[in-house]
Amino acid sequence: MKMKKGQMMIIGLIFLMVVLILAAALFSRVAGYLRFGSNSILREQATNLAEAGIDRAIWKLNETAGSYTGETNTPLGTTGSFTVGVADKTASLKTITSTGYIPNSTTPKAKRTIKVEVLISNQSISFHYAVQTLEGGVTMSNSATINGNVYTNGNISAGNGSGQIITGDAYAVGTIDEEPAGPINVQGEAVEGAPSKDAPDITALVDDFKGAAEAGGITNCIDTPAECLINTSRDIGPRKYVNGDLTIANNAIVILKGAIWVENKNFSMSQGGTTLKLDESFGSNGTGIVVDGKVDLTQGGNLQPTTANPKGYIMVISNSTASDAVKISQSGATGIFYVLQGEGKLSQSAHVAALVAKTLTMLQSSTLDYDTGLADARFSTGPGGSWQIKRGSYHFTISP
Amino acid sequence: MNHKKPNYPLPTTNNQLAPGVTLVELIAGLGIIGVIIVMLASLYFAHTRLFSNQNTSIEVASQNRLAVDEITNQIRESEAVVSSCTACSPDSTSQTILILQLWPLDANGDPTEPTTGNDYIIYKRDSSDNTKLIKKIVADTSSSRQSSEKILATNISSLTFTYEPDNNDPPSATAVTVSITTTGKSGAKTLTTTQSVKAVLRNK
Repeated sequence: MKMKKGQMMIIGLIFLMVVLILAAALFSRVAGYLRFGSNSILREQATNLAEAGIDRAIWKLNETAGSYTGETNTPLGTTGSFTVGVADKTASLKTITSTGYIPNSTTPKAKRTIKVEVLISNQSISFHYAVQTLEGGVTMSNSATINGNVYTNGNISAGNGSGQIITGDAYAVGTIDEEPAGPINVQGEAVEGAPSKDAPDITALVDDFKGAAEAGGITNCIDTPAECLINTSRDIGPRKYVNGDLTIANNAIVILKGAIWVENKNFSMSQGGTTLKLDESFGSNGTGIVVDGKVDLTQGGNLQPTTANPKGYIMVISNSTASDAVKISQSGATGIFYVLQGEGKLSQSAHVAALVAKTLTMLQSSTLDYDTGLADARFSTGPGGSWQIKRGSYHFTISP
Repeated sequence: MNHKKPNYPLPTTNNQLAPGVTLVELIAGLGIIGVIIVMLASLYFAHTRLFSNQNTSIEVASQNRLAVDEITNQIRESEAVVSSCTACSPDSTSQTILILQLWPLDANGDPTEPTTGNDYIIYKRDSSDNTKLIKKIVADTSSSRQSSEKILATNISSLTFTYEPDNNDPPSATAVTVSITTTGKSGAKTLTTTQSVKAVLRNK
């Protein structure tokens, strides 16, 4: 038998086929592994993109005083993109959902979604009255005006002169020098013999302010006196000042970035253009200045809240027991003053948002302008009043 | 001799059988076929060996990657590394055992603030067969997470956890580095894959 022409070709092809089948079997297995490895890397990249979205959302929330609502398909280099959504749960708690896409959201090869809750640590303190004093009462002289309600565990007395006005209600455990018997014009209800009322309890808040201030660092005024006498516009806080008074002067515009604690010394502001403004990042939250000594705003100086609605206020707390623990005159101090052991004195066109004191004396056309937002004033206790991840809430999720 | 004429037709010169192959041709043909068979066989056995090696290598690497991915994701979701928990006994956190504390899950599968207790996840090697990596879930009664114990990966030859910032104080850990070595045998050959990944406790 002779082999016909072309049979070697068939044998060759069969041989080749066997080789190819064996190679293909191995290749498919290797390709499967490579695909598995590649997908694993893509998933990791998507996770990192989603985390980038979370970090950006927290940064934006702190930059925009909590008004950031998210963004869609933000590219990060050429690797991929992320989409972020921010939903309100309460005023101080939000849910951030961030999805990372590789390479894009239209035809993603890998996708990962992370959900996390963020909160801004704050405490609500209710200041229901423009003025609330303890047994020391309120003394109003010379056209002093309180635009709001007054509550005192003592008397509401008229000092010198006339033209004193209380536009809201006046409650006194003792007596009120109300028209026509006295010069004070109470435009709302005047209640004498009211029950005694405690001042808002800010003990925990003060501790938090002190803690936040100390965490921001300590300035020793003996070593660095220029840090305690601020003459130029700059940012301050959170910070604790020791061994010296803290003074802001020379028309400097100072932005308050966090709580301040002046240990065992005094705080003062002078010159009309000198301004201490609460940083806008606080939004509707406030922060505090704790002063173990006296507070003196008699030579001008302004305290400014944020422009958010409701406003975030600076609360100035004096632990002094002196009869001039807080003195304010010629100032637009739109802040809250709390001086439970000492006396507050307002004179010469001083404007204050709310004041709690053992005793209050108002002279020479001084005015208290109560803001209704103070009924539920919120104060940040965290450093800088920042939005932070709520512990325990970070988790991966399937759906965006 | 008296030859009898057969009663069937004898071949004639015009109707003869084709001539057969010679012995030399036969030996040459068998030789060629033998060579081809030897070549195919050697190719097959080489392939089988390669396939087996690759198969083992892929299996070892896959098991490693699955285990590392699972553990790092769970570390990210955890709020703390704990030394031990009541229901985790006798296991306690060490360089070879990791106990993570997590918030329980609500009915929607979202983490919820603990009311009665936390969930715990334990990663360790199986005491009866230490080539197996075990994931044990100890869920709180309030959690929709199911308590279970399952084999996460096989071929484990080493499992190490390193805690940061202080390796001797796991409960203070803010990040954990997971190192896993998986080993498999293919014939006489031992194939090993080692991966080390650091994960931060995002809920700490």
